[in-house]
Amino acid sequence: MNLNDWLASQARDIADSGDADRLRMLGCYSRAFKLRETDPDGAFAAFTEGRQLAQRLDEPWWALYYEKYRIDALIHFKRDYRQTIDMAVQLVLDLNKPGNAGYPGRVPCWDSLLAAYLGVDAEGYAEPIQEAIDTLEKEVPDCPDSERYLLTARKVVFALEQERYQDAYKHCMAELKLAADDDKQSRGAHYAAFVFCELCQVGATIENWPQVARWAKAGEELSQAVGHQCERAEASAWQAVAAWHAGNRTEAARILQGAIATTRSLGMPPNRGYYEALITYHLAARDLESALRVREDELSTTQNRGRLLYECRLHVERCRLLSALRRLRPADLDAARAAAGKLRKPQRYLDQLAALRVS
Amino acid sequence: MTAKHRFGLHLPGLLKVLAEHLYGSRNVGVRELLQNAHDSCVRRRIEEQGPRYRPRIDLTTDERQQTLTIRDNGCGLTEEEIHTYLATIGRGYTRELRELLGTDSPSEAGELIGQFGLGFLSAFLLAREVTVTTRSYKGGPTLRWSCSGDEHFGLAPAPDQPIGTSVELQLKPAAAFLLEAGTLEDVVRNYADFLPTPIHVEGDHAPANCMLPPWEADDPEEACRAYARRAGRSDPLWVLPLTDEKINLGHDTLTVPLRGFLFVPPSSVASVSEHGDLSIYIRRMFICDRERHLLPPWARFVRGVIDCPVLQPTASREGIHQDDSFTSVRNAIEAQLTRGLRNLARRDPDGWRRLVRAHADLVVGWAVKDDGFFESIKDVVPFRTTRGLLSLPEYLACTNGTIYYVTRELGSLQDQLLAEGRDLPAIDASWFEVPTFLNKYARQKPGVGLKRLDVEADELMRPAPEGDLAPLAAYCRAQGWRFKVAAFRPAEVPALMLYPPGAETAAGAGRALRRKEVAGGLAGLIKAYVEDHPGAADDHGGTLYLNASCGVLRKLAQASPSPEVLAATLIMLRQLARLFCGRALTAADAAAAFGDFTDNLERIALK
Repeated sequence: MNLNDWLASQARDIADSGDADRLRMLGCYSRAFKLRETDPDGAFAAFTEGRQLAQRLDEPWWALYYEKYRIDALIHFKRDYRQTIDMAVQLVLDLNKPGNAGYPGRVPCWDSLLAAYLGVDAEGYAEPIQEAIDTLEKEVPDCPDSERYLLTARKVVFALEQERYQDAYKHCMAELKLAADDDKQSRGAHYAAFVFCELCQVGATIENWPQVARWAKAGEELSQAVGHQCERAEASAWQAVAAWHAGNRTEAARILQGAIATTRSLGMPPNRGYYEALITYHLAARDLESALRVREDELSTTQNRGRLLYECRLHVERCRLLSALRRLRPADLDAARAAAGKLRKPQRYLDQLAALRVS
Repeated sequence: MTAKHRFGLHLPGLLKVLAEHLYGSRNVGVRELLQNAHDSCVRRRIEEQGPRYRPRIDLTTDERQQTLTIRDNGCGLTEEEIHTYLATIGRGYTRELRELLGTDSPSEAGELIGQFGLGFLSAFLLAREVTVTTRSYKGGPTLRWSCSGDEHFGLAPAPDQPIGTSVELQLKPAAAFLLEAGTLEDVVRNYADFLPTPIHVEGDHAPANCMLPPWEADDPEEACRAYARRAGRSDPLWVLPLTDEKINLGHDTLTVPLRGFLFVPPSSVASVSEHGDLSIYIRRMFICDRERHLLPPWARFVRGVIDCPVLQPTASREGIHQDDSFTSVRNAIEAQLTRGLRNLARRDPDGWRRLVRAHADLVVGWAVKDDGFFESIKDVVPFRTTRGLLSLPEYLACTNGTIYYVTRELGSLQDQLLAEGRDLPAIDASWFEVPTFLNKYARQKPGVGLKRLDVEADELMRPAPEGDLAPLAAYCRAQGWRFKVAAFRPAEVPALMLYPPGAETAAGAGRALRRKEVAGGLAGLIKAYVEDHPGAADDHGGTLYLNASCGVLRKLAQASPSPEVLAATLIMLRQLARLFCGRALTAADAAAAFGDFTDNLERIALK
């Protein structure tokens, strides 16, 4: 029995029983999912309620199910990684408890652990992350199924984190093929919306703007169709970048304002790709001041959230912009070095910082 | 030039859609026919103005014939009215009469319910054939109209009957449940309990509906309380009768006509999905219950019943439109509820306290999201503490201005002991919204600190010089134990074991790796986790705190015991501390710790 079959049979049994507490427990997922973009705290609270109800009702598999989503809410909705590794390790250990041996959602739990490490320090933990990916590659059937989508998505993120853009492109294409082959079109569309945003990041690194325009348009349309506002804003921001490079400056500014307005209306912090698009836009316009403002906004939504590698890179990028603007101060470098000091492998970033000149 | 064309109309299809798909429940069909009957009686009273007229509606069934008949002694219909209204979809006399009466006689207009001219179609939801026999108060013959739900109907003279209308439904099998004993009474009480026209079922001399809403009783507050008691099967904590409310529109004011009451039940389910809800009546006819959007979002602990004629029902009248009127009504309700709660807090502080305490979990849950609501309850809402329920001002009066809380249900005994050792109660913050609430409170109140005891218990320890316990410290150091000398209360406690955050998970991870219980590919990540928690992964990863305030320990240090006694004593104290802490221990660990304890006890005692 896979996780979906188990969930379906549980939903039927609970509905038939009319047990109000279990019905409420069951409903926590859909409530949380609805809240994810507008009220990520509310989404996390709903998953937590699901887990607490499961514990009170002596439903250990449901407790595992909701604990996995609590971790995912922290990672994907709140983008706050501080507790995610602790929680994910505990979740994986809980799978070993005797009553949980047959739990059909083991791979999604492993995925949460993988996602947590990828988000905290993908360089520092690169070897065990690669080992986990290789093992899951063998475990997860190669067909359009949620587990395969998740694994492929992790491979994309890992490649992007390691700046292996060719690999990221290859994995994105593999995920799009899964979506195209998927009998469940809504599931395929859900995952593909993320992929097109990631492809825009890949396209930007080789400055293939016509391709970025196509992917951004597809991402925007798909996100709109499946109701992912965050990804819609990100795809729009990439459309603005592509429009700028195509010479449509007025149109580019208009699209960018729309993307910013959408993002501001959401409670979920923006994706990294969104900020990357904004900065690419401002750098294309040689507007370093605006690029610095975006970077500092990005840093403010990221720092002290346990995203050690991301935070360190943002500090380095900020220092580079300040250096280009001849405003780099020792305190800025100190803050960046402190961020690098939290990494398992800080040397590369310390070297980059050492090469920058204080004004 | 573009030519204009007319839409075609496929009447049988439209009839089928309206009759079978407009309404969500078959019971609604009876409601629509009762409402037509009621409007007919009101119309007769208004138009005929007969001083001795006594309106009445009768419901009768014939199980053998599978029929349900709804008869009223209202105005009846003339032949022309049958063609104009009964047989014309979307046109209703009631709406036209209400518009006619609107300015001259608003109270009479307000008694009429019908709006859309669609209600009669609901008869086909229940029946395969409908026969209407009617005689108008205006005179003329008794007429019989019949239809099987297609586009044709029959109309013929019928034997004389008293003034009024009877609608006979030849029930479909799916509607046969209406013939079961008690069903019609339930439907009447559900939908038409407050209609002023008496409704008699199966000739019963007593009407099935009570005809008087509680808010129109002689003592409305008591009647509303009694109604809430019946509906909620328990005594409400508070009842607020509603009245018309004048609301400010900026450029003008608007009076929202409002009847009904709000009440607070004695308890609620603490859930993020729990909502305050209302039962909605329009002109005394029940529309829907569990309406969640008319109450302000923070009022999750409030229930109520309202009757408001400005709310606009949907065509099926099983719900209401969220239009401008809806917003006005919501504002009016929020204004009265806020005023009522504020008055309760001022005039009856005990009642207010009871209310907040009874719904503390919901109140806390919503207050973290709503700043205004948070302000109004932050000092009243009680929390479970090691000394029972306390509000935060009561709690802070017992502490040094710091809130100490535990996120596991009332924490471990050790957390409680450490807090109480300092004469500090600890708050149980295991319910997931409580830590957020406490954070918000501490942020807003200057000088209020916040300590989570299950990870910051060392905050309750005062560093002490090792000198006082030098021989003991030397032994611990020689054994490679992690330890600290600190002063803490209660002074009777010689030693405690504190673990850093994540220590239990790391210990569990270490064990799982050793036993090869981790799925192969994940072993690297789990190993990385263990490496990131140095020392925590072994079974003794905690830090032993030796209590410099403990008289026995000080005596032991000064007495210079033999190395063997010192070792045995410290091993026992350490194992006692591990066992008392109760964390990061498996059953095997606990058994080993007891074994170590008894071995050393034996060594000292039998020496």
